[in-house]
Amino acid sequence: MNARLGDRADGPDADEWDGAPDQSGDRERSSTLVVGVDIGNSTTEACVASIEPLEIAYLGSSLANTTGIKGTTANVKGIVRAVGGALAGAGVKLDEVSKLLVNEATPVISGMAMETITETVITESTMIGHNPETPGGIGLGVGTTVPFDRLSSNHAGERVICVIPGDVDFADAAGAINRAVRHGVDVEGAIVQHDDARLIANRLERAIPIVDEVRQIDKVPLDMPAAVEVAAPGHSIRTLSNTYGLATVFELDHDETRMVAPVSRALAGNRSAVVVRTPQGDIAARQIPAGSITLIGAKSRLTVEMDAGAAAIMSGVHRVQPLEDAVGEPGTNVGGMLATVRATMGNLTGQSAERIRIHDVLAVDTFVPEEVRGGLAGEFRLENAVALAAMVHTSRRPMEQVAAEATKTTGVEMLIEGVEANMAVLGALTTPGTAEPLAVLDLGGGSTDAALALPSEPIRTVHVAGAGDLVTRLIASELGIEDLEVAESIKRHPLAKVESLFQVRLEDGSAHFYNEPLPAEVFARVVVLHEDGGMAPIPTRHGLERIRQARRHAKHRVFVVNSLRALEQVAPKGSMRTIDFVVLLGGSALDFEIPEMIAAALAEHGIVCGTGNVRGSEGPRNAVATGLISYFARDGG
Amino acid sequence: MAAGTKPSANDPPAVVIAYRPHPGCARTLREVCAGIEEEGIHFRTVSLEATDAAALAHEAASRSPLLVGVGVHESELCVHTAALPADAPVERHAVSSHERACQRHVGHNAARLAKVMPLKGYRDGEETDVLWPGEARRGQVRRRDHNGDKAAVAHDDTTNNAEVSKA
Repeated sequence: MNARLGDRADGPDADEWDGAPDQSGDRERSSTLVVGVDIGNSTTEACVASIEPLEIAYLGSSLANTTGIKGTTANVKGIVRAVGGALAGAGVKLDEVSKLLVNEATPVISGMAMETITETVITESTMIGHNPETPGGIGLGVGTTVPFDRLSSNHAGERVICVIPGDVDFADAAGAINRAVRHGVDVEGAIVQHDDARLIANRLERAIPIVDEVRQIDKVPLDMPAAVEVAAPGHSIRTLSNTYGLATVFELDHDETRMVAPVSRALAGNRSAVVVRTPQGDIAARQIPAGSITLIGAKSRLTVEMDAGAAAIMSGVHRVQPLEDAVGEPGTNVGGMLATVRATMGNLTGQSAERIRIHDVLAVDTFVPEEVRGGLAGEFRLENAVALAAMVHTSRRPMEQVAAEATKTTGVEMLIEGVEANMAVLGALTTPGTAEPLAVLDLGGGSTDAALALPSEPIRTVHVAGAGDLVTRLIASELGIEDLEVAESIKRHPLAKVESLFQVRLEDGSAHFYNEPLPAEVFARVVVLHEDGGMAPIPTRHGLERIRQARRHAKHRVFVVNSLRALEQVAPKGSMRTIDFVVLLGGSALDFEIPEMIAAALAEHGIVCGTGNVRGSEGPRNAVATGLISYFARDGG
Repeated sequence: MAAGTKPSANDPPAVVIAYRPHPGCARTLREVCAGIEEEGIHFRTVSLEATDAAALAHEAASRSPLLVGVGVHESELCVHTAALPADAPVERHAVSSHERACQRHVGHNAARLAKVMPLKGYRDGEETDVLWPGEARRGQVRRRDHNGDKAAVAHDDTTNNAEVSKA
């Protein structure tokens, strides 16, 4: 690095710098003030430096949110903000700056799609498989469903399941059931709308299983055979979650048994459940045709069935390298997914969807909680799904417009300098302790980019699909969280469980006490811990361990997999042994666990890996902006 | 469960409900007790003279082996724990005696406080603002519009952003 700076000193002639707009006369030195600007998908970074004959003095840096989509003139607002911040930090005025430097944008954008490949549909049949927190009684009850107001001695000798709507008081309900039992009605179980199961169960003379909090009680079919099961605390149901248990209870033949199999699967793991058989009841697990994906490489093409899973798709991608396009089978899920990606990309770039070529695909196996159609209490079942991230090369070179607009707005000429990856390498090399051969892994939002600098060779770069945004999506879908902001928050912060009004249990098992009582909102909940000591509850019933596992698993499947994939592709002959140092850059390199996950995976290949510390002070930020300046200084602008 | 009984070593661990006798208080007590019972926790009631629900609740909590108390006052219900200052209950509800859903809710949350389970009534599907210790309880008086069949909905929808958001 320093050697290169030395080269620069006697390279470009000093006149050129003096030729720069001379507002720096009062500084009385032959220095040029330049600002490097890096427009990322989410943040715009700026770095201001004074280039002097023998050295570069970095004066300040800052970052602002990127305004608009990267590569559009809407970016200018963010540029002005970032540049302004950097200048203010350095105590420099805009009119003292001679050049703004921006890099040639990476001509790739990425998109994502996620589709379930299985679906459980229960038509004209009914099951209640939700997990009310406080079911009543214990055991299995089988009988005919009877509404509460018709529960009388007419049913003497019959086995019945009582259906109790919300307007019935728990004491009245219990009294009526006790009376009916005394009159010879065999009340075997109850289904209750309100949260009253235990209250009723505590007042019964004969214990029966009771499932409560069934919101759509009016949809429970009446005069139909039904079974109610409640397991002991800490246990899960055994009969209704077993296909043959259902077959026994409802006396089903083998064809009918095949049809109820999805019901028992949907009920597995619950503490309580209700199944009502309706004569016309059809239960079908409809397999949506997942379809196949055709991977078109430079030399060969390969068709992979989606059912084969993410691993088969990824090995296909590997085999046809370099990928030139990917096509999904029309009329299937994967066809829809890739069409969505193409349409989005087309919109973004102004190209027609047919001309979009997908140059990389990352497939990840996942599962999505989907509402069971035919359930009565908002039951969810985990359906298998595949998440796809796709990377598209764009033919536009949009930076020219941005640069022109920025020049107009600021009055300072903005130059387009060099390629993003090269700039990132130059910036990364300012990290103390690094040397060539050095690879940079830029862990972004949409893509994971690698660049490898070998001595006396052009820098090799690759962009692979899938990064921080995909992690967020995986976390959201696997935990059933609709709000992506919440998923983002889970991704970024460690967890804790609030154990009392004054105490939390942290992820690592240690406890932390507070002097002030914690808000009731967070009591007994799993929360994310912010750096400043605040906390936010996670709106889910999942336990801490489950959330933590989903978070780490998502990061691993995206970032570790992609880091290895990207480095393999830039390494000469695919041999990662040729790489000595890997510097992690980008927003996700600031993550509290992703860098160590990648470092652990790369250590197996004998690679030194760590989060970059650009200029020894900036951490993994500002690498491209810094690289722009050192490139400008070296080549004389 | 008789009113005013002194705790003894043989009593099961219970939430204590302290009330100041007033017209309609039997009805309120029934619902509060039902809420606690549904959660599977024992309870005990005690009649006390105190000026407000918070004081009743705090005294009740200090008599509870579970350190959780409920205060039933004519116009107010409080859930409290002995660990908090008397004037800063966990929950405070200004209600009139016929608001059954709210009374039941108070019972649920008292039991949940004892069980260390998430409290009801804090919306589950929405990100809450970042919270800091000690922030929520400042001047916390919640008014709920419970009437007729809207009661259950109001329960779920009641958030108190004004109270919990960062000062």
